[in-house]
Amino acid sequence: MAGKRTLPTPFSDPLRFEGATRTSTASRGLNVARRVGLRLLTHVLPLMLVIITSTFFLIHSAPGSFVEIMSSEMQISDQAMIDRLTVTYGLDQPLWIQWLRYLQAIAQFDLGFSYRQNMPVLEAILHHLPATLILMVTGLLVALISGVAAGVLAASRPNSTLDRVLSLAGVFLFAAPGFWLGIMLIVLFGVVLGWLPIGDMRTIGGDFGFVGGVLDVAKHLILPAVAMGLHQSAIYLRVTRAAMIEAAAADYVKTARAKGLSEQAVALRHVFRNALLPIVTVLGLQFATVFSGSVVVEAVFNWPGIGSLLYDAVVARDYPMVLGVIILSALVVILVNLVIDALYAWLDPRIALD
Amino acid sequence: MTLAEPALIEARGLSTAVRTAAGETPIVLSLDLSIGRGETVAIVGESGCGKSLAALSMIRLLPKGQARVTGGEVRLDGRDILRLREREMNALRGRDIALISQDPMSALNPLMTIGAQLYEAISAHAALPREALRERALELMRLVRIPDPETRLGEYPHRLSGGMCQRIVIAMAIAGHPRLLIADEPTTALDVTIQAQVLQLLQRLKEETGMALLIVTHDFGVVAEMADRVAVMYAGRIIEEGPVREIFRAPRHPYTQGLLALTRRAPAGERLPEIPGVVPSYADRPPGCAFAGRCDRALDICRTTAPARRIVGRRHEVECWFDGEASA
Repeated sequence: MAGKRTLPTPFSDPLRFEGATRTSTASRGLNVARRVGLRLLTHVLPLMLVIITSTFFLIHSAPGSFVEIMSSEMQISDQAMIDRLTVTYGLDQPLWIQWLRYLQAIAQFDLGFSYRQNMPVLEAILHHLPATLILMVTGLLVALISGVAAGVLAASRPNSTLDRVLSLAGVFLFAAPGFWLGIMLIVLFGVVLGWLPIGDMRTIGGDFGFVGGVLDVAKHLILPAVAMGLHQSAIYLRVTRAAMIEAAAADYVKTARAKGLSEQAVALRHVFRNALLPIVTVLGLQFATVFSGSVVVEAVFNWPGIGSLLYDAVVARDYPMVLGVIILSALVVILVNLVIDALYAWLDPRIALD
Repeated sequence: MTLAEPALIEARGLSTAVRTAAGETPIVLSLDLSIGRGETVAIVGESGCGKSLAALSMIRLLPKGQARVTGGEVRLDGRDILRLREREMNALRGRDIALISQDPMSALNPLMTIGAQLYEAISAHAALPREALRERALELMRLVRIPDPETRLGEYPHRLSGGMCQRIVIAMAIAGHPRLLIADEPTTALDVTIQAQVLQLLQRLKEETGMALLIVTHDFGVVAEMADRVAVMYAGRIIEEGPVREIFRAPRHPYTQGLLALTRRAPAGERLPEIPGVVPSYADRPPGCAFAGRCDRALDICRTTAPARRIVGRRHEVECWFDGEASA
């Protein structure tokens, strides 16, 4: 009765291969796609309008226009020129007119012109966005993989020494600020051991061809991604540990064990799969935090992402750039959460996306 | 069934304890119970008497980290399953001993289709090709009278009623042709009308497959309907055990008599009868009989010395000092 012992995976439903149900799973997928589309219209558009409007008025309520900053930085004292600039950038108009014009421009995917970067805002952002996304996604993966693995390990023996050590490490990493972790990593691996570069995204003046270039970026990516990921991983550790322990006590786990399934199969197919739901929820919530957290980490590691762009724009009162970065970040976070919602509905058949 | 035939499963001196903040509290105290092939035995008792823990010990599915077996043995085919390694135990669960738990709605994984969960139960002990797997699943569902089984295969548990879920749980439990099915309060969470159906189903399956049944319940109605033999549990011990007819006709232990009296008279409009007092916790237990504090016939010896088990009839045994046939 050894039977077949295929290695179980959380999603190895025998059913997924099976005729009658393939259709039902597929139709469920189609349904989700249609609902996501609907949600884009009913949720994302109004939300974006609110964000754009509130950000616009908030930023304009701050004292000092960018013409003033620019003229003082560039030592322009000619009042006629200042007036001309004010008219050129539409700053002489009432605020609500400026707002309407801004909305109109955005509807045409025009985020305005950055005098600071001397290029369209959208172009400048798209130039910096890939660097930030690479860092964020890698950091999130580090956080997710290390946190979930540590959480599963801790939950396998609750209140054991291993559990206590892991939980303590988690608290330490979460209490330590991301930038401090970054600096410590730089000191250890960059300065003392000299294994990894201490900043930037590429070796300056280096030309390694395509593959070499990718490896070069990867080498530069390790420290900032780990600094960001370790800080975040503590949250996944805690959520995973709690969710695993809760799921392990559920009746359906007893049922699964009563069938005579192996420990592995029970842990993966029944316990872990149910524990995934809270983990995914936290992933969605954390995404926004990671986005803003990346600004700090980017500064520490001199990473050429959105963070440096935003910081520079705020200091220079480069309103179109500030607004542009905020709007695009909001859009990214909203879209990611939309994906998370869909993922959630896909994972849990009890949840309908509406 | 004759006494000479060896029992299918036999617990000797089985003890379990629950972990609490203050240490371990013994719940099941040196329990002896044997179940013959094809026999239906009921363990009956109040909540907290240890009947569920005793039953779960026999399939080694006590809640991890919360309760554990502290002593005794459980022999299946002569080997002590409490000493098996977890791997060997897994090979035995579902195939020799199966379990139905109390709440059918939470006994099924909400994220897996009915079909997937049935397939899992079938393929845990038999390597079957996909088509055969499906055929077997449909056969099992028909066996437990699930209407329209083809559609149900692809559905998730939350779309099914409690009664339907319990039928699925039963179908999964009998998938491996177990010789003993442990049913832990199989009808407690169900509507009264569904309860009768599920009991009938269990009775029919038992007759068709020849498996033995161990029913854990607090309901003497279930006992009367299903069981061949009944073991009455009080504060961690079986205080009376015997054939159902015998126990109903002539209960010997004052506790059994009290319980039966409660189920018999239910006069309309009157206050529900009760046995006065509460079950003593382990710490407050007197050195003698655990029931002595609530017993209206307790003698001095009851409070100081635990009664030994006495044979009072054909396979009828009782743990009580009192020796008069329901005369008092």
